[in-house]
Amino acid sequence: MEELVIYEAPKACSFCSEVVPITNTFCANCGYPEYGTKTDISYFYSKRARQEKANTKALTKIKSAQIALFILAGIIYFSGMLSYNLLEDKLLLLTNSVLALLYVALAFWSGKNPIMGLLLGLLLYFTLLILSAVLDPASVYKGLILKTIVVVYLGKGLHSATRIKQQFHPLIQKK
Amino acid sequence: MYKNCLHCGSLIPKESNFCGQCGQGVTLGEWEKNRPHYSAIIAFYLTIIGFIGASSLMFSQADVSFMSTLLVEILFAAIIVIYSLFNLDSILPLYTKPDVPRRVWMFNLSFPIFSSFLVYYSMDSLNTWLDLESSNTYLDNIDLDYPMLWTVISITLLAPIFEELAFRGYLFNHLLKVTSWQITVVATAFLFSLIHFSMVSLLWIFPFGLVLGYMRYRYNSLWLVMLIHFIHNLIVVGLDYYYAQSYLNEGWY
Repeated sequence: MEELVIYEAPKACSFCSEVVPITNTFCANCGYPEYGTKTDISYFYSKRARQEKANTKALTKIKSAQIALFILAGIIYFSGMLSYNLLEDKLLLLTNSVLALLYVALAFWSGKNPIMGLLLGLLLYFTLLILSAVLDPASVYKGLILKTIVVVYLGKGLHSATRIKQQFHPLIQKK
Repeated sequence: MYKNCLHCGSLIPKESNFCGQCGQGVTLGEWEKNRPHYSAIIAFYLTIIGFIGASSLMFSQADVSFMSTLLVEILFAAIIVIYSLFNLDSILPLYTKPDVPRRVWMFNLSFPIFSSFLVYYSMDSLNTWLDLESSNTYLDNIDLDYPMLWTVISITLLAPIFEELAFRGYLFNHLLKVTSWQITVVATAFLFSLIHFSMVSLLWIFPFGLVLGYMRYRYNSLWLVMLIHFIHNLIVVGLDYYYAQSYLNEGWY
């Protein structure tokens, strides 16, 4: 008599509903231990929670860096306007308007592509610091605290943007 | 397509986020994968901008002599070449003879003629509107021993060769590794316009950089972009020389 062989059908992952082949212990999409032990499951949830928390924190820092770019744009535009109203300095108005536009564009871009937007924003800021040092060497020490704060915010945002873990992205959600 | 798990070595499908056998994450974060490229981009740009800043400061404080200008140009070129040595594998192929249709060569010859005249006269009127003195590359060097020779060498030869190597060579290669070609073209054009240290010329250098970046991406060659840059700068220097002569004859300078 022929022996009856029962093939177990591959299950859908209990966490993200991707198909998990019977040969695998873990889901290849989200890492859920579909055929694992209870310890594996609790380890999965704690690790995921930790990483999601870290990702949320990183997103907040990116947001702050984005806001820093908007504030820079505002400051630079209004100082251009002010110098035009007081001194009729058309050059400064044009320069500062172009710069403010650049900062706004980079701020919006860093919403879509945080690494590139913040990287270019930081490099633009460094360029302007060096340019102002060339034009007026005494200006290096002016507003040193403010300059440091801007660099720290942009730097932290850039750093966080590079640390987001895609496999723990909120898009891979519990179904 | 398969790959090996970084942790247990099992063969797993390439698009997996996690290893099905050991459960460890196998997609490297963007940072781990791209860290060397980001470091290279930031270090290279900061070196260049720092060097340009330091040399501009030096020239604004001290008298400019032929030797000091030459030294600055040589150092600038040396920095770019030294960085490029670390990226030689990707840079050398860019110097092979480009195999492009004739219409591309036609574009290469006609575009810089169009761009140089357009930029020269529109920037002139913008400067007049802003009550700015238009800068003249020939008059900038008039105190040196051989002003015309030096202007031609530095502006029309050294600038296209080394700026293209820096921005369409080194930076372009590293950016292309971490992002799409469209973003690479925009980012290199942006940084290229920033190092010219003039927010007014940014208005034309940025689009100019976009054209150069696209040509570099499309035909994978630095010869084409060097040619565009060379002809553009040559015409600008020629116009500067022509107007400088009339200024000098009228005794304005």
